[in-house]
Amino acid sequence: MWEFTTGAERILQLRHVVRREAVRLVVLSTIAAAAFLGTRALAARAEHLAVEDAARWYERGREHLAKSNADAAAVAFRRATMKHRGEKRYVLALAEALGRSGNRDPAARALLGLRERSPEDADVNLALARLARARGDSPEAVRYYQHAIYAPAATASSTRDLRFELVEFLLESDQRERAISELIAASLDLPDDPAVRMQLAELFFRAGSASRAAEQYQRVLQRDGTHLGALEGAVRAAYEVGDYRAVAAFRLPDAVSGETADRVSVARDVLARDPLAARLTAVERRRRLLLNISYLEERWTACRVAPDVPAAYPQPLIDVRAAARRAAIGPDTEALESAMTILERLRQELAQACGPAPHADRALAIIARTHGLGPA
Amino acid sequence: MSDPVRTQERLWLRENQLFVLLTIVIGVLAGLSAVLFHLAIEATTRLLFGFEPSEGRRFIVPAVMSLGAGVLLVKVFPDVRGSGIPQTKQAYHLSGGVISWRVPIGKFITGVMCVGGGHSMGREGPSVQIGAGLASAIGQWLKLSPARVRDLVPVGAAGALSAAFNTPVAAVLFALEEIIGDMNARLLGSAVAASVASVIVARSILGNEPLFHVPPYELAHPAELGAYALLGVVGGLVSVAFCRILLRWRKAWLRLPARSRILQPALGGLLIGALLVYEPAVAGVGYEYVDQALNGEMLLTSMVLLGALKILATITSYVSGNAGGIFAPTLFIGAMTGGAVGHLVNLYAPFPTGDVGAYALVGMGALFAGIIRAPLTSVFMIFELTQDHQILVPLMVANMLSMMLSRRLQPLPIYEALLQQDGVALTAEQAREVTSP
Repeated sequence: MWEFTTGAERILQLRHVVRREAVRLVVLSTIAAAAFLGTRALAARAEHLAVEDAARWYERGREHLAKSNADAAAVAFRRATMKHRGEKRYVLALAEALGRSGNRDPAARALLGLRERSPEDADVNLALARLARARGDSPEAVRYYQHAIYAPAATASSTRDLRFELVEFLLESDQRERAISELIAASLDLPDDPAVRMQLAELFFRAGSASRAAEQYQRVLQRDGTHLGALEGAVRAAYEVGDYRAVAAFRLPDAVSGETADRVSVARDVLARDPLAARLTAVERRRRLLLNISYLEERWTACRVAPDVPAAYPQPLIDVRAAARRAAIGPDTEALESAMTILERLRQELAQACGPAPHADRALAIIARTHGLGPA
Repeated sequence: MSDPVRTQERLWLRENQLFVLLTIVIGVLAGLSAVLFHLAIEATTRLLFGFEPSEGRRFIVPAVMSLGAGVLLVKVFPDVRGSGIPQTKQAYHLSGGVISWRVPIGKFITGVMCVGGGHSMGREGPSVQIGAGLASAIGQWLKLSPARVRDLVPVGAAGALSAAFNTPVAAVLFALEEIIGDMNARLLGSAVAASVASVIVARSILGNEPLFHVPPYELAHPAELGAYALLGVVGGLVSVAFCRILLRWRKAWLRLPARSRILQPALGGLLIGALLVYEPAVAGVGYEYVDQALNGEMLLTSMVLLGALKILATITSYVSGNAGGIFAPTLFIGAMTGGAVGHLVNLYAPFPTGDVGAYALVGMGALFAGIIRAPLTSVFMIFELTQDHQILVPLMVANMLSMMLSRRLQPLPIYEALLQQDGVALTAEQAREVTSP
C-alpha cells in the first residue's frame, strides 16, 4: 500500500489515499451522528423506564416507612436514587429513612450532596436542620433553619411554618430570647387568620412573653368574640402578666374550662381582698383586712383535724384581729403591711399542713407576692 | 507546477490531520458503543429479573443465559470470553492491532447476556474490547497502514473506558499504562482526543451525574495515614488472594475436556444462581452497593460477607468462561475491604479517624492497584470520581503498598497471567515460561 516507485506516482497515490480517507471519514461521521441520535433515543426510553422503577421503589420505601421499617425503607429509597439520580424527593426520603434508622451521618452526607447542588433549597435545608436537631447540634440546626426560612423560593406560609418549627426547637433547647425574636419577626407578616394568630399566641406564651400572647389573643377576640380558645388564652395570659382587673372583667360562657373559671375567680378575689391596693379608703382597707382574717380563721378551724394544727388560734392572728377591730390598722400602711405579712405566714403554714387551698388562698398569696410581703 | 516534495509533505500533513479527526470519530463511536452496552445490560436485567425477582428466577436466569452464551462463545465468537482486556493487549502487542469485526459484535451480545443475566462481572472490560475492536475494524476498513491500525486499538479502548466510567483522564492513563504498557507513548494526544470526545457523547446522553455519589472526605489526623497504609497492606493481600484463587480455579477449569467448554458457562451460571438465591447483592456490577459503602451505610459484617461472596461469585463467573470483566468486581471488593478496615480503624484507632466511606473509597483504589496493577489509573480514577484532592495522599499510600505487596507475592499481573494460561506470551520472558514444560 505504501510502497511507491517514482515521486509523481507517490504523490498520486498519496492524494488518492487522502481523498479516500476523507470520503470514508465523512461516511463514518454520518454513521456516528445517526448512531448518536439512535442511542440518545434508546437512552431516553431507558431513562423513562428507570424513572418509573424509581417511583415504584419510592412508593415501596414509603410503605416500609409507614410500617416503621426504616432499614428496608432506606434500601428502597437508595434504589430509587440510583434509578433516578438527582431527584430531590428521593434523596430527602432516603435521608429521612437513614435518620430514622440511626444512620444520621450517612443521612447528612446524602443531604449535603443535594445541598451542594442547590444550597438555597428550603426542603434540603429544613431536612438538614431536622437532622442536626435530632443530633442535638443546636447551632447547626438554627443555621439550617435560617437558610430554609430565607430561601428565595419560600412562600409566606411555608416561611411562617418553618419559623414556628424553629421556635419550637428554640423553646426545647431553652433559647427563649431567640424564640421571642423569631416570633416577633413572624408577627410582622401574619395573615388575619385566627388559627395562625392562636398558634403565634401559644408560642409567645410558651416563650414567656405573656403580654405579647395576650395581645394576639385579644386580636382574635376582636375578630370573633366567641372564640373559646382565644378567650381562655387571653384569661391565662392576662393572669400570667398580673392584670387581674382584665381577668376579672372577662365574661365567661358555660363551656369554658374549670381552670379558666378558677383564674377568673382568683383574680376577682385578688381585687376584692387586697387591702394595700391603690385609691382605697381606710375603712375599706380595714374591711378587707378583717375579711382576710376571717378567712384564715375559717381555714384554721377547718384545719384543726390536721396533727400539726393546735385547737386555739395562734396569738399573732388574735393580735391582728384585735388591732383591726380597734381600727388601729387601716390608715397606717406600715401596720397594714405588717398585719398582712403575719397573715401570709399563717396562710403558708396552713397550706403546708392542710394541703391544697381554695381560690381565696391563692388570691392572698398573689397579694403578698405583689406587695413583696411574707416571711423573709 | 508546485514542488513535488512540498506537495508530498502537505499531503502527509493532511493525512495526519485526517487521522486526528478519525480518532475523534472513533472516540465518539467507542463512547456510543459503551453507552449502548450499558443500556443493553440494564434493559436485559430489567427484562430478565423484573422489579423484584423471585428466588426461582434468581436461580435459573444466570444458567439459562449462560447456556445461550456458551453456545455463542464456542461456536460463533471464540475470542470474546472473559474480560476482553487481555485479548485487547494481545491484539495490540502480538497481532498488529488487528481485531476481527466479529469481536466487538460478539462481545456486545455475550457480554449483555452474561452481565445482564446476573453474573458477577463488570461492563468496563468488555467495553474496552468492544471499543478497541471497533477502532481496529474501522482502521482496517479505511485501509490504514498497519501501524495506524495498531495505534487505533488503545485509542478505541480509551474512548470506551472514558464513557463507561465517566473518567476521561483515567481512561487515557489506562490505555497507556495497561494496553500499551508505556507512559511515554506518542499516542497520548490521540487517546486524549478520543477520550474527551467519548465522555462528551456519554455525558450528553446519560447526563453528567457521577457514577457514585461520593461525599467529601478529609484526613482527620496525620496518624491516619498509618491506617491507610494498613489498608494498603490488607488490599494487597486480598488482591493476591483474588488473583491466585482465580488463576488456580481457571487452571482447573481449563483442564476439563474441550467438549465441555460449551456447557462450562452454564455450569458457572448454576453456581451463580445458587449464590444469588442466598445473596442477590453479588449480581451484576453491583455499583448500588458500592455507593452504599462509600456513603458509610453498611455494617462491618455486611461488608465482610459481601466482599467474600463477591470474590467467590466473580471468580466463578470468570473461570467458567462467561463474558464479562473484573474491573467492576475489583472496585466492589475494594470498597467492601476498605469499608471493613475503616470500621475496625474507627473502633480501635487511638486517634480521630475519617468516615468509613473514605476507607471504602481508598480500598477501591488499593484493590485496583493490587489486582489490575495500574496505579496511576487507579489514583486518577478515584480522583475523577470524587473531585476531591484531599483523598490523593491516602490513596497514593494505600495504592503503592497494595501494588508493592501484590507484585512481590504475585509477580505476573492478572491480565498477563490469564494470557499465559491461554498459551500467549507478551514478552520474551513470558514466552519462555509458556513454552517451558
